[in-house]
Amino acid sequence: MNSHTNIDRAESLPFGSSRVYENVNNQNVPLLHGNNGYPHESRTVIETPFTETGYSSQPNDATLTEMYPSRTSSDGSVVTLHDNKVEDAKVKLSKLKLKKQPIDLKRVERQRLLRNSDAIKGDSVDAGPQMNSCGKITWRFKGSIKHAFSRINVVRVLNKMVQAQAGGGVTAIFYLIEKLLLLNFLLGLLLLAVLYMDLSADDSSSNNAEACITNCTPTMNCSNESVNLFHTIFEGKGIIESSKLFAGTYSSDAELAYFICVIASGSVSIVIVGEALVNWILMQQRLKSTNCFTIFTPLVFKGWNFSTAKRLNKKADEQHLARELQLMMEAEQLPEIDGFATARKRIIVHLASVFTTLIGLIIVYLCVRCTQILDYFGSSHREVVCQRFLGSFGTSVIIAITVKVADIVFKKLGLMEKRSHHDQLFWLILRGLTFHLMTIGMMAYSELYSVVEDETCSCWETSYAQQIYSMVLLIGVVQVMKLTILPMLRVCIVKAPASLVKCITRHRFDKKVNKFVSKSAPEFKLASNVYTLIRLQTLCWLAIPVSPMMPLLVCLVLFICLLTNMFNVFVLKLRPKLWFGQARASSFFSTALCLSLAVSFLPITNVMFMKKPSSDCTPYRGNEKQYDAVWSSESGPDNVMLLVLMAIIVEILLVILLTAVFCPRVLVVESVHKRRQRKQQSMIVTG
Amino acid sequence: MGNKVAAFTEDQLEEYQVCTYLNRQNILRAHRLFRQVTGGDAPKVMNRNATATVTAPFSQLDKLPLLKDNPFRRRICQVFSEDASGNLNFDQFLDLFSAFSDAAPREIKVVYAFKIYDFDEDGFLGGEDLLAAVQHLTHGQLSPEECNSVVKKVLEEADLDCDGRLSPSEFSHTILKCPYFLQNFKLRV
Repeated sequence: MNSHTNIDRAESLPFGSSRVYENVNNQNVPLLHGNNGYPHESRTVIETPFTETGYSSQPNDATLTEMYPSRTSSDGSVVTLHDNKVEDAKVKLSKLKLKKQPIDLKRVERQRLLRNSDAIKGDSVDAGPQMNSCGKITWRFKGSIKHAFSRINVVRVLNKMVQAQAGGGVTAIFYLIEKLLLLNFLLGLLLLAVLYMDLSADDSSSNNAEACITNCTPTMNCSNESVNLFHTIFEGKGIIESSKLFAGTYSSDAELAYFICVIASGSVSIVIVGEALVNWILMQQRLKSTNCFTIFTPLVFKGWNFSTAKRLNKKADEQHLARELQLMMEAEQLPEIDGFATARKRIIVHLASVFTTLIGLIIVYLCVRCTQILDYFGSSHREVVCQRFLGSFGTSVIIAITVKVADIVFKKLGLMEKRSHHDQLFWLILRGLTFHLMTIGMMAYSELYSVVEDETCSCWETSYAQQIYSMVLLIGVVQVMKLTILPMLRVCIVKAPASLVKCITRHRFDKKVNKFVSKSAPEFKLASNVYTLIRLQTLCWLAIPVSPMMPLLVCLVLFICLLTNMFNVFVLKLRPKLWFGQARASSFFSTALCLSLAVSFLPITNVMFMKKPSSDCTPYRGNEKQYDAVWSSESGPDNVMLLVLMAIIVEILLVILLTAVFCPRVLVVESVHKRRQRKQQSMIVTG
Repeated sequence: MGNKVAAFTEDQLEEYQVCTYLNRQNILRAHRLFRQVTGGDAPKVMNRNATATVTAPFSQLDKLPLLKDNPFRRRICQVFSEDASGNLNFDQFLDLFSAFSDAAPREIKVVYAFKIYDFDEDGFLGGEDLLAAVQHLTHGQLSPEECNSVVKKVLEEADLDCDGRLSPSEFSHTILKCPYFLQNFKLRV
């Protein structure tokens, strides 16, 4: 090769750019020519000697003139060379990162651009937007905070571990629990203002807490002490009834605060649930616009998650992917709806589901009514009261058994339809959820409209709140049992003896026992978890107008649910049989919250705007309706104004905070996605 | 800076920051990682000669915690190495982290993802490339018939011009439908 320039077009890289070599001093030095913004006019490549550091000597103007011919602007004036080259070089330097080339080529290009322009030499060129020093400090501060937060973000770490171990559907359950924990924590904080107002109430007021007569006096006694304890804990009687958990003992000074806080809680709930709904709608639109028929390609090309660094997680990830692909192939091979036969089957299944729901609702209604029926069998006040207590907890147990039986029925019905795993799970959850929410609605209706005001029940709010408390506590107790007692029983009855027998006889009988207990292998029940969480949240919303501290109790139960699920995933290694992709599951489960809020809306409105408050309890006593608290507050005008102002500020701040956190992310993601789509379409059109 | 010896000159650091999506901290961390991988062969002070000549062998890169469980680690190293051997010098090592960094745009990641999946390096993703990708991902969890079915389905979905293989533009168009692509094609130093 000679020492003069020898342009040799080397191999073409796949994306249009080419590599050109310039022979300088018998060394092939790569130089880039391509369609990346260089002027199209012909020019001569000038040989530029390189020093040891890689920089060339400064070219003179003559050489620059040849490299960068001048151009005439539209008004006929000649744009100077210097302006051209500085601007071009700046633009090219800022876009250097975007070039799909190795660093050594970019380095040469950068040196070339810097050489050709004195004006930008020494400037710190950054591909990102220019920031002043204040902006840089802020940006770095935000980055450090974000980095620090991500390191202590236990939730994110936990979700990644669950995703790696158990797949997307189970992760969606964890996301739902975390979302509900956040929501209830915010509601609990908001409603603490009510507690504050009550605790700072004037004791000398005639409408103070001690003057309240709630459902049953704390001095009530059944004949058996243990029964008393049972009623106290599981039905919210006794000391719990006169505690601050229920609104019955709150003083009338807290009526305005309570009303405003309930409205604020509703706003916060609507924002959080609304965000889930918006995400779901956007996801549906995105699926439609990006041709949702590509189902295999996203799975194969989604890449490998570098976070799954451990060998166990890697194996679990491989298994999940394989399982998802198998399920999709299975779904593809399902027979098409062959006219009338399959359609008829599906119609029968739908009708059976509706029938099951109706039966369940009737049972729930009768259960609640039984408490009134029992009243007529008591010969003395005490017996009636005790029977009423049993009825209240008994209602919760019977409702729990009814929904459990309905779940099994829906599952069996679902197997009769020939659907893919995804669709089967979707319909199962939809039917079950409808049933659960309707039973709760029926319970609320029965409680609100069946309570007879007599001397044994002078506070319908407390009675209503106690029923809800009983149901929430039952859910919590069941979760605690799943976490503690059931695994202990399993170890004591099955595992330990099985290990002993295996040591002696080498025979494994635990598998036979497991088969006897449950014909199928234990699984992580996605549907059951969704029901539990949505029920819990619905009960919480229903209870807010009559029990200010209910969100905090629900927080506790949710935390126990989280622990139970972690135990199931990491210790018992339970996995779901029916599969759901994470994106679809997250949005579906979160959208179910909308259904829950809608079901809760009617009873809440009834309590706050239609039903007359009890005369002897709750802060609203003496009012015709709860909303009369806004006008009939007995506090001085200054206190009222301060309280109203405080409540409005708190509510506005919360709404802004939640909107700022959730909405921009949604909108930004959507706009970025649309821009990419348009760009991609234009690329395909131009070939 | 006290008694500490700077691994790079300011000019080098600025150059790397301009040419890659890594910031100063990432570059220095990558240097420490590189020295770990090369077992001390890489000098503390990296001049331009060292960045181009000192290479980390694939046998050592294979054991990096960030890469060791990745089924495509060999292809990743081959794509970023000059001679497809999988051995990387420091510049190529930085290139790798730059392409997988948070700041790298989707377009860059798509380019390198295509190269990684292109096992036969013919500039297209044919049936063999897709089959190899599925086998790498599932690691024997699917039978050969199932793998072939998946490949067939992928080509049905993504091969718009029906030539039996995916071109870069078809691949790029397909990646738009992968919601987890960006978060998975990410590697932090």
